[in-house]
Amino acid sequence: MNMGRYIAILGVMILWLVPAGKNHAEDSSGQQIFQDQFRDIASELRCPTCVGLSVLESDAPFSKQIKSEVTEQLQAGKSGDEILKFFTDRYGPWILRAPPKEGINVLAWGIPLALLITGPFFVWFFIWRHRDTVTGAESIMPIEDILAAWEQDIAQARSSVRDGKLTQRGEV
Amino acid sequence: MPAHLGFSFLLLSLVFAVYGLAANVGAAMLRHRRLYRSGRMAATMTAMFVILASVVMWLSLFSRDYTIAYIWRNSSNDLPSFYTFTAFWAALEGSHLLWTMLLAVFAVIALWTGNDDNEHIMPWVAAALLSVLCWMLYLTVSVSDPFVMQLPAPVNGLGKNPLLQNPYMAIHPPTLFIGYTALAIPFAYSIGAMAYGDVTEGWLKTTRRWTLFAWCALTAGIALGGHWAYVELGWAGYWAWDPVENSSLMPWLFATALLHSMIVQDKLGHLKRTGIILAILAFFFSFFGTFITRSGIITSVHSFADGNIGPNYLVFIALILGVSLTLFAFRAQSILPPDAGKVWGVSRESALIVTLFLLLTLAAVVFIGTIFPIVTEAVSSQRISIQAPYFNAFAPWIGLALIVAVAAGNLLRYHSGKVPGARRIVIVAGIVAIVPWLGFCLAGDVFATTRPWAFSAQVVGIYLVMWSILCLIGDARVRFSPAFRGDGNLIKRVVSYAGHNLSYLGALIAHIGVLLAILGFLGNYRGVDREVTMKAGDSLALFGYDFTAGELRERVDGNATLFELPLNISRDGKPIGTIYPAKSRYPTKPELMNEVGVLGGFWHDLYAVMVDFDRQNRQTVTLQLHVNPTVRLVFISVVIMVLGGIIASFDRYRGDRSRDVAGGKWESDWRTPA
Repeated sequence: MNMGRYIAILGVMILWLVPAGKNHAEDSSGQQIFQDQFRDIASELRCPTCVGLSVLESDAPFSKQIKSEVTEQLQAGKSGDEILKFFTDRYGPWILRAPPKEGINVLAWGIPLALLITGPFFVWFFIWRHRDTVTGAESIMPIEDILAAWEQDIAQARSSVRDGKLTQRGEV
Repeated sequence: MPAHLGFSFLLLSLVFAVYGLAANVGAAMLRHRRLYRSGRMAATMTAMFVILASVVMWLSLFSRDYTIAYIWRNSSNDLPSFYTFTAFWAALEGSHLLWTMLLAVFAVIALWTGNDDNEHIMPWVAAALLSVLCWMLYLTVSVSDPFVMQLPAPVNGLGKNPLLQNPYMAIHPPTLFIGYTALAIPFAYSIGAMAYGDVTEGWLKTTRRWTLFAWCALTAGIALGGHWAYVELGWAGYWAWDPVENSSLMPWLFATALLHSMIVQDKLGHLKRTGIILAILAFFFSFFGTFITRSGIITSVHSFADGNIGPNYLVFIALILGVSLTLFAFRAQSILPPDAGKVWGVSRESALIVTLFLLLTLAAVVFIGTIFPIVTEAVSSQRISIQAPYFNAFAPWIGLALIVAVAAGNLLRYHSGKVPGARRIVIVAGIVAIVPWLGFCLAGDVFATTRPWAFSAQVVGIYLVMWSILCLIGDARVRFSPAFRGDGNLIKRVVSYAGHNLSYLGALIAHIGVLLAILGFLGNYRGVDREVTMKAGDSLALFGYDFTAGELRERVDGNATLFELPLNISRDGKPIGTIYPAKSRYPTKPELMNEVGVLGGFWHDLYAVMVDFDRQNRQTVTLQLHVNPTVRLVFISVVIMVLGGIIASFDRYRGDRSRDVAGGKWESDWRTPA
């Protein structure tokens, strides 16, 4: 491996990237924390009159109303959970963009979770099921051999095409 | 008059399709070759007549023939000719006709270009395709008739939905439909294989190409839809996990899974039945999406539901799944791999199994998230919403695992063989990745992220993507190295390798595309936005950019009147461009529409939506300003993915090393009258 060339390429990449890399972070004062909190809550509530959007992303009158309600309650010192509960009590769980983990909705959360957790075991089981039915020596073929066999196949196919023979397997 | 003509063409088409179906089933049962050829000709005529009906529709659109109710509802005299052309698929009946036409065309292409090796299963393939076509055509002459007439003809149409008057929306539906309908071919071949009793030689080569073609079209179609949403809907995102977006993603996930299972089938002869099931599900979900769009059972941006087409679709998709799975239950036991004893262990085929698991789990999450509101309402009469936060609870983890699976899978070889020095590649890539990772994080303002979860997701995700790309490059280096490819310069070696392994080259490119797309998605964790009211001359600094408002002005563009605000953007005092967020008015629609202003860059898209403006004095404007990171990267990566798919589909050898049943031509078995 030619390390020098690598380093040169990476050097060029860094030179290209660094000047663009200035930090434009807003000052992380209390204002920022309040903003983040507001966004977290507003993005959990659906815009009642639109499709697929949170109140945060929407400018529909209804959403604006909800957003100002959220701001007011935050300023009054309520926590995120309390505010979400306030809206759930008023509009039902429908207002939440992700269903509450209760009743039948447990399944909506549980099935994917169960798949993600148990799936790897099934995969493991499938993969290792036949591990010992064929002896290792047969199964591990050096890559050179595979490539050589492959080249041969291709050469054969090419020559049969050249000779105008059918390329049908078994007829070559 | 044209309406009568168009309707007659559709009727004729249906007649040919019914005959073709009967002929092909007969040909399959009797093994009668001439009957099959007759059935194939009938399929060809079916396609001809649907095309003719579509031509009639287009001609009537251009002649503004408002005696046809569909044209009256979806166009108007002021509509520019490009959008008149695309008004064809602006609503339910037209897009159904387009779908039917594409399906018929692909069916005919598949029947005429079918590999000779497959000839003895072709009657079943044709029968499967024609049964789908029969049903589609039945709908076009019953509940989804595009040629319904009204007399006397109004002088002007109601006008096309302004949201659809966008170049992306013009090509997004047909592209997606091409993908959906092309998935019918692997489905039909699966039915054929099951009816015959095994996967035949040549089967894989044909289905692989069609699946790749469908995959490319779906990838492009989904991205075009996302781009449309991005520039037209004005909420600054391209993916909302909307039910119909989800139902275009599901066939894509199944098609992707199918492509991966086919690799194992090609190399080892295993996973034949998995492939068949995946092909069935991919096709089923393409119709499931249509069902959702058409029936209005789930509210969505895309629902244009009316009429009673919904129940019809439900019956049909239930039939597709029921018949296919019953067939599978009875026939699957005969479809066996050539050698029962297979060592999986640590190998590429095992990595592909893991990939299948991840893709299918994601599909399950998407499916559950899409249908669960209905389930809950049916079970507990409680209404719930499932939107982005639900999907975002699972998708990032699966995405993360997929990044690792791409790298690991590519560094493994079949039969537990490893790439020479795989461990070294993993380690070196892990070290070298730090540099592009740091560079990307600095240049992309990742460290400006304030929230811990969003920050760590990005830091980990970006590092893994960089590592994975380097692993892919490391693997490519081995493949192209002089040790395997002989002397000669790099280009010569690459050409000599890729020349007979285009599927590897295609996969390499497509995988890099996928990884870059994930890199782009991660940008969603660090966007900023601000709502602001400005008047001419006002200026606002946001994320290092300065936005300066110009004078609000009025402009006529095509059939629309725009109220637009030039917004000059500069960075570090240097002007970098002007965007024009606007409200537009269309002559046939009362409400004002959003016209988004976007200035795209590699690192950030500057995106402005006009929320409102002072209607009386035209002095102040309220704007929603967004800085969206790496949106462009997502769309670039889609182009790369599609490019990879196209390259892979030109591979001439993949599928040739089939260990499947050598069917030969079976001519002696065909009953040919003397």
